[in-house]
Amino acid sequence: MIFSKPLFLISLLSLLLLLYIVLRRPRREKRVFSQVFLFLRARRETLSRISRWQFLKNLILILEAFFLLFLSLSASAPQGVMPPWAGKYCAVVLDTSLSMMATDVAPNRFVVAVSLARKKIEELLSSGNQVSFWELSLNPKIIQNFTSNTHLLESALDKITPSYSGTNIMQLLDLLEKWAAPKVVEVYLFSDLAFSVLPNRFPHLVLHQIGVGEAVENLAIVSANLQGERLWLEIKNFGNKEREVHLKIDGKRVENPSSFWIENMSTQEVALTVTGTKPYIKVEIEEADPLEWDNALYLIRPQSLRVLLVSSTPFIKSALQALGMTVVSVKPEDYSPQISSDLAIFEDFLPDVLPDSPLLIIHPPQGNKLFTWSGLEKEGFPIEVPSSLVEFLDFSTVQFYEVPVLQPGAMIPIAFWGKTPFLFEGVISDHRAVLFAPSLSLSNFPLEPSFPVFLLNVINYLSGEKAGFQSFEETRSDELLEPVLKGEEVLGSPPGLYLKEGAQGFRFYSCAYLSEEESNLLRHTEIERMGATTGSNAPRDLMPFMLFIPLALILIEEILRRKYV
Amino acid sequence: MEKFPGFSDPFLQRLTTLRFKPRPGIAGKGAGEHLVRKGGASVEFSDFRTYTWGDDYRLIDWNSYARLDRPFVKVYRDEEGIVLHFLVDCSDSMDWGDPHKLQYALKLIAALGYVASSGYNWVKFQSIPEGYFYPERRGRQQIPQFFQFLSKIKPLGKCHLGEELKRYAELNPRPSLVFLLTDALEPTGIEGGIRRLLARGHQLVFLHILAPEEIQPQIRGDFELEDKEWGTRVEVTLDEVALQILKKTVENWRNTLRVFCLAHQIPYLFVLTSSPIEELVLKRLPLAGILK
Repeated sequence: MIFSKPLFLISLLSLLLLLYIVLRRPRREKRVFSQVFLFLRARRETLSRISRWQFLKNLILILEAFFLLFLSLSASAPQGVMPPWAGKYCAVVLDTSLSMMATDVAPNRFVVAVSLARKKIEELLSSGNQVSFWELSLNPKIIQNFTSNTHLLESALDKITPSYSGTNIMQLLDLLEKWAAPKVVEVYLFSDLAFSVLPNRFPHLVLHQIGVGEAVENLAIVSANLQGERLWLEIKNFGNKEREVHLKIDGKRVENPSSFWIENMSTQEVALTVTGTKPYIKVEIEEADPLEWDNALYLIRPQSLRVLLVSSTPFIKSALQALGMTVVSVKPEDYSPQISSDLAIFEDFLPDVLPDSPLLIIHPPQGNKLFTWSGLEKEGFPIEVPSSLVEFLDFSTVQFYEVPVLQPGAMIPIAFWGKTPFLFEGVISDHRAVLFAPSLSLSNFPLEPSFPVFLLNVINYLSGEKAGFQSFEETRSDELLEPVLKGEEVLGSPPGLYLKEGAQGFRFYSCAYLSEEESNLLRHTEIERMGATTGSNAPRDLMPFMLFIPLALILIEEILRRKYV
Repeated sequence: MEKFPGFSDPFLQRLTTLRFKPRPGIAGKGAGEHLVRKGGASVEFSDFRTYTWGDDYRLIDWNSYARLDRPFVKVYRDEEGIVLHFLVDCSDSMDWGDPHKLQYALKLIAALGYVASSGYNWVKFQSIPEGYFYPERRGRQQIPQFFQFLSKIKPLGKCHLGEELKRYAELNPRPSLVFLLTDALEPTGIEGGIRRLLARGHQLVFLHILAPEEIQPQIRGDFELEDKEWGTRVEVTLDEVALQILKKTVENWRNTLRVFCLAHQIPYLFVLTSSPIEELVLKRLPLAGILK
C-alpha cells in the first residue's frame, strides 16, 4: 500500500497513547473472599449484567482503537487500493482579467465562468480524470496541481478572485506546455476572449475554449461622449464577421449616417448630432444582438440648474458637480435667504427663513421650526446588502408620503419599511419640497455610485420632471476601469454604477440597472453559490470533528466507569 | 491473652444447668442422664410386659397379677449417656470473617462440649476435612483437655464438604447426635452428605455459621475476588444494584438450605459470627429445642 502523505502515519503513535491509557487505567482491586460462587450465581441470575458492562468497556476500547487507526490511515491517504488510472490530464483555465467583470451576462462574466468551470470540473472528475486549475491574467499561474480531489478544486474555485488586469495567453500556454510535457493535457479555457489560431509550438496541449459573455456575434457601444449637441460614439464588433449597424436615438432611427459597417473584432467611431432638452437621451443599436445590455446607452445632459447647497459635507457637492450643475455652496453659518438659486439643498441644517425655490432637505436638525421627529438615529440608514443599492437606482422604488403642506408645528412621524427609506414630498411656499430623512453621514450611501443618480432623480422631481430614471449598461471590457467609488469587492456584488473620470471631470459613464426579473436572477444565483459553498462542503468539513469521536468515547467511558465504581 | 475459650464463670455455671434434648432413637452409651426407651434400672416407669422365664420375680406387679391372674413385670426406662459428635468445617472458607468463623465455631463447640460433659454425655470431635479428631470421652475431668484440643485447631485447606460428610457417615454407623458447624459454602452443595448422615440414623443439628460481611458485603467498586478456599477468581463490579442482587442471591441460597433442613426435620440455626455465643447457647438453642 502506498501513502501519498506518509508523514501522517506518525499519527499512528496515538495508538500508543491509547495503549498507555489502557495500561495505566486503574486495575481491579484484588480481594480474598470466603466464596465466589454466590457472586457468580448472582451474575447469572441478572443476565450477566456485570459482564455486559465489561463487554461495553471493551467495545469502547476497541472502537477507540479503530477510530484512531482509521483516522491515521485516512489522513495518510492510502492509494494502494486504487485501480489502474485510465483517465486524462486536464487543465481548467479561468480568465480573471478585468474584462471578465463585464455584466453582459448576469451577474457578470467572471461569476458565470466560475460556475461553468465548476460544472466542467465535476464532469471531468466524474470521468476519472486528473484536473488542474489555472488562472489566466497578466501573470498566469497555477492554482491547483493535478488532482482528483473535488474538495481541493472547489476550494480553489471558491478562493479565486478577479485580478482586474489584462491577459497573457501565450505565457499561460508556455507554462502549461512545460507543465504538461511529456503527457498530453486537455486545456479548458473559460474566457471572454476568442483565440482563433494557436501556434504549433504547444504539441502537448489540446485547447478547448468556452466563451463567456458576448464575445461572439456581438455589437456594443463601448464609449460615448456628449458635448452640447454633438455625440461621439465608439461601437465595437466583437464577432467574427463584418456587421452592418443602424443606430436609434430616443427611439428614432438615425438618418445620418443611416448605417455603416464594422469589421470583425474592430471598433468604429461615429459622430452624431442630437437635439432636444430632455435631461437624458437614449442611444441604441438597432437589432444588434439578443443581449441588450450593451446595445443601448443612456446619456445625461449636463444640467443648467443653479443649485444652492447648504451643507458641511462634501458628498452632495461632488455629486452635483458630477451631474454638471452649477453649485453655490455655502456653509450653514453663511446662509442667507437672499442667495438666489433654482433649487436649494439643506443638509443637517434648516434655516428659519426659507428661500423661494424648491427644497431638498436632508436630515434636518432636531428642534427646527418646521418639523421634528424622533427615533431616526437609532435605526440608522438601512443599507444592509449591496443588492439594496439596486433599488435606489430605480426612483420608483422609493416610497413617498404625500404631505400636502409642511408648516410650522406639524408633526411628521418617520419610520422605515425594510430597506427603503421614506422620502417626504410636499409643497412649501408654492414650491415642491422633498425631505430625505436619514443622515447621510450614517451610511456609505453618499459614497456609492448610485448616489448621484438618486440625487438627479430627486432634483428632476423637484424641477417638475417625471420620476423614473433608467440606467445604463456598462461598456466593453477594454474600456472598463476599476470602479472608483464602488469599493473593492466586485465579485458577488450586483452590477452597479461604474464611474470613469472623463474629460469633463467626474461624470457618468455607464450604469447598470437590473430589472426585477434580473434582480431575482441575481439573488437566485447568489443563493445557489451559497448553497454550493456550504452544502457540498459540509461532509468534508466534518472530518476534523471526527477526531472528537474517540475523545468523546473516552469521556463517556470515564463517566460510566465512575458511575459504576 | 485470654485463655480459650474465654467464657465467664457465670456463663459456665449456666451451662451446667443445660441438658441436650435429642429426639428418641439415638444410641446411648454407658450410664448417663438421658432416658432411653429400652428397659433399664431407672425409676422412670416405662411399660408392662408379660412375665417370662428368667425374669426377676421381684419385678412382678402383684396388683395386676391379683386382678388378671397373669404375671406381668414392670419395665423401667434406662438412663444412658448420649454421644455428641461435633463435625466442624475446618476448610479455608471458615478461615475468614470478622469475627472469625472458625474461631466462633470452636468456641461454640467448647460451650456445647461443656454442656455435654456436665450431663455425663460423650463428646466426640471430628474436623472436616480430616485432620483433627477427638475421641469419645465424657466427664468434667476431660473438659480442660477438650478445650486445649480445640484451641490448637487450624484451618485445613480445601475440601468437598458433601463428600466428607458421606465418608463420615460410612465410618460412623452408630446413630448419634451430630452437630454440624459449617458455612456450607460448597458450590456443589452439602445436601447429599446430610442425607447420608440421616440415613445412618444420626440426629443432625445444622449450625450455619456465616460472617456478616458474607450476607451483606460492604465493599463497592471493581474487584477481582479470589475464593479463599479454592482460589477461583472472578471479576465483579459492585454497585448498589449489584449488591442488592447479591444479597437476594445469598438469601435464596440460605432459604434453600433452611427448607431442606425443615423437610428433613433437621434443626437449622443460622448463626452470624457477630452474635454473642452466650445468647446463642442460652436462648436460641433452648428455643430451638436442642437444649433444655
